[in-house]
Amino acid sequence: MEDITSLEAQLARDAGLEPGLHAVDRRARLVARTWHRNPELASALTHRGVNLGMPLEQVLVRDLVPIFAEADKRGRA
Amino acid sequence: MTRPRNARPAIFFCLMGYRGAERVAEALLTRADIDLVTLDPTTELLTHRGTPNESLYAYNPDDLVQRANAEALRRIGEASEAMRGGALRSNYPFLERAVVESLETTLLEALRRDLVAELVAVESLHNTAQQRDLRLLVVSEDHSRDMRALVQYARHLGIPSLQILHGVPVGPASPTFLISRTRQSRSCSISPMRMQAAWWCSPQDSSGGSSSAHRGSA
Repeated sequence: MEDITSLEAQLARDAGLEPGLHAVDRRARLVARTWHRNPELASALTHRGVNLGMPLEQVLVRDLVPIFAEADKRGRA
Repeated sequence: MTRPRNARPAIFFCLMGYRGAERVAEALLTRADIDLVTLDPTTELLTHRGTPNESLYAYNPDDLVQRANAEALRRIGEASEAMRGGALRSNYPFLERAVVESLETTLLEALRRDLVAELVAVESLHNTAQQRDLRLLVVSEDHSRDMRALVQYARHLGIPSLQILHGVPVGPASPTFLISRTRQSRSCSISPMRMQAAWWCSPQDSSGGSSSAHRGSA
């Protein structure tokens, strides 16, 4: 079974995220950039050849940071 | 999509929050035999100045928003179903279950908030491209929701896009600076020298330009 830490690192590299990001930033940006690539979600969101999940990346980072910040806080408690 | 016959060449032009955008638009109209298709706030800016332009929404049917709403609801339903089936859990097995559930809620909320606007943007460009001979998109950025959707759909249609970066002064500044900045734009697909020929060397600029041009963009 693949190590989930290395899987996350691989996904981050594949998504073009620069190394050294804080976990909160890395995960928020990773999800904002990649969630819509899932084949089922891509099928639901693709309109006239454009995956409409992709243009939401910028606004989603703002939405997702609080989720990962809260998880990070729980992890440190 | 095939280009419409007998339609005049047009450029989609939208420089949001870009000081001097009106001067770029007017130089384009002076130098090239094209029409401008715009989006607010550029539509309002140019119309207020009496500069000919046409809204991207001009070719939309009256019920476009209603249809986009129905389409968005259908697609959100499919996305929700995919998430219930574990789409996100399989994407990110390293995340806690509670985090994945929060992601699902947040992503569906984002789709309810934004998907209709994206569909309207893409459909508006589609409708315009069916009626006008769109040759180029000129935008100030391609990371915000609607601009990114428009640039991606234009790419799908084979229409190039040109991003004029924030920070490039519009007016009598160094052409070398413009060229160096333009080469950094990943959306740029026309020669920087053609850009220069199009508006950078306009006669009025060589005498100093207006004060707003001197201030450049934000």
